[in-house]
Amino acid sequence: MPLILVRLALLASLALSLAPVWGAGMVQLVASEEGGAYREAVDSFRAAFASQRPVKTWTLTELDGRQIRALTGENNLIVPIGLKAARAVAEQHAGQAAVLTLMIPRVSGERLNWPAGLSRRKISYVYIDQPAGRSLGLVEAAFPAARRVGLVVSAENADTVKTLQQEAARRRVDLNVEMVASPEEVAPALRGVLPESDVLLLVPDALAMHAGNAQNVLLTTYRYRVPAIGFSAGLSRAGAVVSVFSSPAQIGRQGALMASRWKPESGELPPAQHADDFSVVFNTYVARSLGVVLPDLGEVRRKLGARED
Amino acid sequence: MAALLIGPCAAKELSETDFLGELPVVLTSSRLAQPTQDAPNAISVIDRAMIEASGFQTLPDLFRLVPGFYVGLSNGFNYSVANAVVDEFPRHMQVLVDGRSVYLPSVGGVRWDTLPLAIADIDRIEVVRGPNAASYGANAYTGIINIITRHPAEVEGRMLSATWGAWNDQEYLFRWAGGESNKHRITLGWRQNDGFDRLNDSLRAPMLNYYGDFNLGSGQGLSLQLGYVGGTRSAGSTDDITSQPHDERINSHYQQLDYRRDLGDGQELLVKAYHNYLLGQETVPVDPTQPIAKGIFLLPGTYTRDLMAERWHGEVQWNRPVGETVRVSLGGYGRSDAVNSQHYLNRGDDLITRSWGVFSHAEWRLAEHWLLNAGAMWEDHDLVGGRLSPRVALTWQPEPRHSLRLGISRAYRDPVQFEMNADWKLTLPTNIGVITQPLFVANPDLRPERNLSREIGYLGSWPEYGLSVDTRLYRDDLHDFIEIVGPTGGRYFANVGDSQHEGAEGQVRWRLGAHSFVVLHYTYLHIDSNHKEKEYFPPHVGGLLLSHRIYQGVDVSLGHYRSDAFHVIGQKDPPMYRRTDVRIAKEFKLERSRARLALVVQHVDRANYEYDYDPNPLVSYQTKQVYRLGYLQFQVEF
Repeated sequence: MPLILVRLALLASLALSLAPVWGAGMVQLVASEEGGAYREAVDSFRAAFASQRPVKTWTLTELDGRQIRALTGENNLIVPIGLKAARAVAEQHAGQAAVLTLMIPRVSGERLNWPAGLSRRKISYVYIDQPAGRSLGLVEAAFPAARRVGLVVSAENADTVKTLQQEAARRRVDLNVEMVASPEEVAPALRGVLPESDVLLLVPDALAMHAGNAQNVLLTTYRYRVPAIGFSAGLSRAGAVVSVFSSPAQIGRQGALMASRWKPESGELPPAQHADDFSVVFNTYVARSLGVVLPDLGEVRRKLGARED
Repeated sequence: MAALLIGPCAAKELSETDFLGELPVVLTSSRLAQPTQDAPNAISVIDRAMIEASGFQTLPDLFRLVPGFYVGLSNGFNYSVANAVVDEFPRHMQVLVDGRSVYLPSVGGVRWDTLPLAIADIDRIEVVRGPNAASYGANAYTGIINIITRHPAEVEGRMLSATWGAWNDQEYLFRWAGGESNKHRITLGWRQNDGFDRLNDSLRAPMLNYYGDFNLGSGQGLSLQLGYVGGTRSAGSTDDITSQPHDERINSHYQQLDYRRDLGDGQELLVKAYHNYLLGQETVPVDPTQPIAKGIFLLPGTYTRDLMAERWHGEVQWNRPVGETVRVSLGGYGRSDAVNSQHYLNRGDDLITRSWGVFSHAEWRLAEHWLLNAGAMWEDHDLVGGRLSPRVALTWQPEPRHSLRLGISRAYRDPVQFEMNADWKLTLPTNIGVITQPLFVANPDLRPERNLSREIGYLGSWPEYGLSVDTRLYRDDLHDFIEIVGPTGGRYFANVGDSQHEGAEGQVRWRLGAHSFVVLHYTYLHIDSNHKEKEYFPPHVGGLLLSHRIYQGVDVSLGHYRSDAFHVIGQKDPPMYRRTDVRIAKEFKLERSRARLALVVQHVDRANYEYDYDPNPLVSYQTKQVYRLGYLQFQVEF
């Protein structure tokens, strides 16, 4: 090959290798981990993303602090999926990039420290948990005779409790709340609340209701013959009579819809929201064992305002 | 970056991992109580609310809350609990605690005072009314009682309770439960009681039990139970020349292991193994001052009257769904029973009998409203050979409120060691030399009793009103009924004949409010028999329990129980029994704890006479009178 072409080729490849991979107006998905739910959210996001803007996908382990800082420096949209990624982005954020965090609980989102200089209109979320209206709507739809809804949470869910109380007042159910301040208080709190409840609403809470103590909580609700309303498919399989949750795919899709409306010029995002789409899962074994007659699943979804798909 | 751990640890940050991923499935089909409409038998559940409202202080009394049971007090601590045939050792029902049989291979039946269990440890009692040998094996002849204890997760924390009452009854309990991924519950107790005034029947019993549930991860769980009851029981009487007052020393303990494995897709493997041991030792003094016959006096001294029963049992069960409509169970067990009594069996070595069985049942949803339950157990028992106990039940549930069940089953009751191999004699030195008085002899030709049971049951449930109704009509054909025959000095057990039992029973439960309920039950039993003494069960038995919370934390309850007079074969006639109990309890919510004070008065309106098995004419009805027995209970959870 003529020498000039070789030099040009070398120069071009050098230029390409030095130029930042990221450019302005890109969507940067950062998954907390490889595979699993995160992969599901990523795939669903990409499939639903309706804009021409380029989308790049990363796993958190591929990026170091410097690279994350660089990502946030440009006028991009960063989409962390999961708490690890969100925290990493919040810690390293050094610019003006908008951040749309997907698939984290609302209380965790509120704890993230974003730089003071970043406009709050550039920060948004699609939460993994359900809006209060939908949780209580599920109680109404699946247990029409229930009048007393029990709840055990810690102070971190104080806002959730307020919202639930407002919703409960509208629906004429009584919310029976027990607040706990330490893991040892959870069992006595359950023992206090369950005899006074027709159903127990499970709300994710670092002290009162998490993967580590879900077994005990479910066993206790069963011992008291009180149906539990869960917030994940895992909880229903483990014994919650009915659960409502949004899958990673549903969250990913919602995130894509929000991201499609993002423009790098303003950088602003729609306000934080819960996924519009959701799934309802029954545990028919536990239901039958408790003598609970569950309505038709489709009926329940309709009552909760699910989109037909 | 904070490491996120999935698994049990204190206060970690909430994240999406709490929403995603699998959780260990705790409510497996074996743990779940089968919904009563789907069960192949009529089942009555005595739950915690009923247990507390009843105010009963001893476990056998709780059976007054289900249809068709007669509960009689032989003495301060020996109960006769039966649902078809009343006897000193009613032995026609299988009795289980957390799936472990407490039936005695020595004399049959249950020695309720030797169960390492406090009423405070019981979560619920499931009473199967009717035979189900296909699932529970031989001796589930007329019913099954399964006592289920409270899981440590349900009683986390500490509990202290004290009870004082009639007959100098005192019970003290301390319980601790807790643990992170492995849960433990330990209960320590002391019970004492002087029994009837005019009988020598006191009880002093220390008790200990432990239940540990270990999470082995990946769908596997292991639970371990241990228990011990000891102490003394008074025996003998000043009127009994050959058995003067003394104490029986009790040593009762058990160990049980349960392993379960979730095999995925609704399949489950269960392995159970347990060991029961009961030793009652007596050093019996005689009365040398009264003649046993004209001119004949016993020389002063004592003799030994021990009885040991031990059981080793292992079983495996595999549950799996087959397609959408069928659930199948397959399993087998092996068991070895040892009985030792020089006094009652006249031999120093252990009498060992082995048995084994294989069983299978299927639950098949034939169509939307039809459920077929079919099962069978094949058992082989050293003493009596092999036989098959099948059971079929068809349930029609035209709509969620109503279900109708038709069932037919066959069950056997194996003779126990004492029935087959008794060689009981009193050999005592007297002033004219050693005299031997035979009491019972063996009958190695004894055949098992057979029951062919047919029933039709209706269940109605109106959950919006909190109302449920359970009724059952049944006919049991009992063949080869075993009873004591023979002359004094040579009595033995024999298959004496056949009986037909025709019964109608029902129960109504009505939840009137969050803390108010009514339970009502009634049973009518008509017995036809070629046995001359065929009124061996009261023709009418009923009960009522009302409980109501009158205001903040104050519960009042009223129980009324009645049974008709009848005649116990070869013994006396228990009179008509009409009993009313009342209870009032107040709960106190303290800063980090809950306390409760309760006052119970039993037999509040009239005196009753408890069942009298003792054929001794010196022990009259007056001795067994009960009237206004009061108890005060204090309990604190912290």
